[in-house]
Amino acid sequence: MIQINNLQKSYKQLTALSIESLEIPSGQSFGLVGNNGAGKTTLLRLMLDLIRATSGTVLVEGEAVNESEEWKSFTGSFIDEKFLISYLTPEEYFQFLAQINGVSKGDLDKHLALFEALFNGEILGKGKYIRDLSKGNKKKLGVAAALLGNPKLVILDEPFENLDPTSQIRLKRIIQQLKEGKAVTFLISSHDLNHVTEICERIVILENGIVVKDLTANEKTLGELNEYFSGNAEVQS
Amino acid sequence: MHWIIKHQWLAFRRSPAFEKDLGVKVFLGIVGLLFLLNLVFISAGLGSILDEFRGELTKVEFINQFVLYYFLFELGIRYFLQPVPALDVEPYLHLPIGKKFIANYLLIKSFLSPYNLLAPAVFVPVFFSVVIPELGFNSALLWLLFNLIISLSLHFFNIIFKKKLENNTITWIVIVIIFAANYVLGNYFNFDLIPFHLLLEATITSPFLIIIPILLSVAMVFTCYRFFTQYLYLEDLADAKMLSGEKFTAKLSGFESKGLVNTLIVQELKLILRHKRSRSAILISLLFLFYPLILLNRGDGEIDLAMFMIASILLTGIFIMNYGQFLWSWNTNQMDFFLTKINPYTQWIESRYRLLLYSAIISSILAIPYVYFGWEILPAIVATALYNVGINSMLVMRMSLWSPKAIDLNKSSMMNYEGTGAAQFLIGLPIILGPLAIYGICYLTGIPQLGILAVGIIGVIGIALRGVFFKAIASKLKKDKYKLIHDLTL
Repeated sequence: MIQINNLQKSYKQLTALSIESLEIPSGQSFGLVGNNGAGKTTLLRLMLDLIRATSGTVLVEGEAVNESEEWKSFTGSFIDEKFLISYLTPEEYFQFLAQINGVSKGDLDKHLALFEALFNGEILGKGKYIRDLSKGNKKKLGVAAALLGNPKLVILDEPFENLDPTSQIRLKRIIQQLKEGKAVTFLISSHDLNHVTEICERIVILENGIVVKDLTANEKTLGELNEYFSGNAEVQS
Repeated sequence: MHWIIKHQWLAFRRSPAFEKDLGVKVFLGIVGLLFLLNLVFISAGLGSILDEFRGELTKVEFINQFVLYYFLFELGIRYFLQPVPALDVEPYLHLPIGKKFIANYLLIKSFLSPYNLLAPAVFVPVFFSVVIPELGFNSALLWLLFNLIISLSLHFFNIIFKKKLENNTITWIVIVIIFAANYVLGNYFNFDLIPFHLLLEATITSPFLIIIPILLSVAMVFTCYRFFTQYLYLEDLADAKMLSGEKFTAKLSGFESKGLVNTLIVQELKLILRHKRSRSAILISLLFLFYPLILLNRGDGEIDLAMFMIASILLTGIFIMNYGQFLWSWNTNQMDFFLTKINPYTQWIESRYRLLLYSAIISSILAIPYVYFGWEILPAIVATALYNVGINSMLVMRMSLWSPKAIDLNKSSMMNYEGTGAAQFLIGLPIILGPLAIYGICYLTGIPQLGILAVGIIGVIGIALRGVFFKAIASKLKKDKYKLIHDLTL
């Protein structure tokens, strides 16, 4: 699904990201962890062709993301609030996305029904503009928007951030439900080691822009991750 | 396509400042229409005016000599007033919407600009009134097409110019020097640096030459299109130069250790110099240093002292007015910080006061060359500077507390009325009329110099009483604290 070759992103002298080779097969749930500034968001932005790579390429289904725009038709993504259109109401935003993605009214309603519990009556039917929603509700809205229209590839940056514990669990269930039966490739970055080990089959640790660990998730992974990060904390203090 | 137009409309309709935006747009629309009508009438009546000046040239030849300079003027207007077509593209980049679509949309949108009516308003009436009678319809039509296509190329050139070359003030200097050189060489040495009018005249006789402006405009459209498709990255959308360019204030950080007031002054200087909107307040202040030239240069010898007074109030107080009118609004989104960290408030106020004081000193020094118009202006400058520091800066600090409004510092100040309320419209009145009234009363005694002295003395009294003013403003700050926090948060 995704093939990364010699990918580098530098700001002046500072190298933010440097990945020699990384391959994500179709249908894999891929978790990205790492401390602030490790390059997680930079990597996701490069995959979405939102920033220019200093060198190297990201290929999605064999085509470079900065050359072909074909990937846009099967990719759902949410990085931050700027992905939303602040002056629309949530309903209008979903209708717009449905139109862009060619999703019928019935399918849209079905999709939104899936999120009814997560939205908790705070998002739809309130007559509020998106800009007036809280951070957590914007996050829920963005994630729901990214998952609309049966995308083959889903890219989410910190989907659990700013969510209350109940919502975190509900969101996790929705993602697991969507994964079942369909060959959706998930790319999720998170600081929450518990959630990410539960959802993802494979976990990659980034540090200073470099892949330091590439793990296949099993019952020991959470312990391993905890050990890694507490080891890190020891060294720095 | 229709959804993108709908979104633009909703963005405008649902903007928190919709009523004000609409009012400003209607007002500007009326002003623009009047301006265009003026141009149409001038252009239509040009024939009779030209007879007086044209000398041995025909009317059209005479006009052709000036077409090039008209285009310089048009570029200037476009550069300073016409916004580059913008669309908040970030919400669309990750969706299945092609970059080509966005680029096309931006190009078409840019084309539907009122500034593109400028050239038709100038050229079409004169085309009917002067050019057709002289050249006949066919040649006249070529003449008109040539000019309109050049104007179109300018439209797209302006976009590239603003987006890509804006960092180079040098580009403008070079353009102006070339045009000035062209004018001088053409008039005194009979040599054309830019053979523009020759090309225009050649096109009238050999119609195939119209291909040159057409190619030029096609090249411009194509460059714009490529520019729009290639620069749709987040890095280009953020104003990166803001972070790297500003080195001056970093050097000032040494002063920060010298007491709270100095720390606050340095902090505010950083704020001013690192944001678009506040930086242009300084630039406009510098431009206004030349404004008194219009007041003073009436050419009829005797200049009365009252004129000097108005001029020097403006000279020494321009920054106080220009920056001070938004004194508290500049700290939009920082109110929580100031109101929890700074104790007592009088220190905060004093730091702002010192900033106004320094600006008055600097602009007084810069105003000294005006003694060219007579030595009498020197005491006027000193007196009004004292008055501006003693009384006007206090007035500004107090008046700008009169329901201040939030400002987005990163937006350009061109045609930007954010933060403007009743206070900002009224603030100029007491600042200019106050000292004029004092001067006027003393003038009645028959000794105008007494008026200047009185203005200066009242200024000194104000400076001596500054502590009292600070306390008054501090208590107002304390009283309005919650309202300020609410109103000055974006």
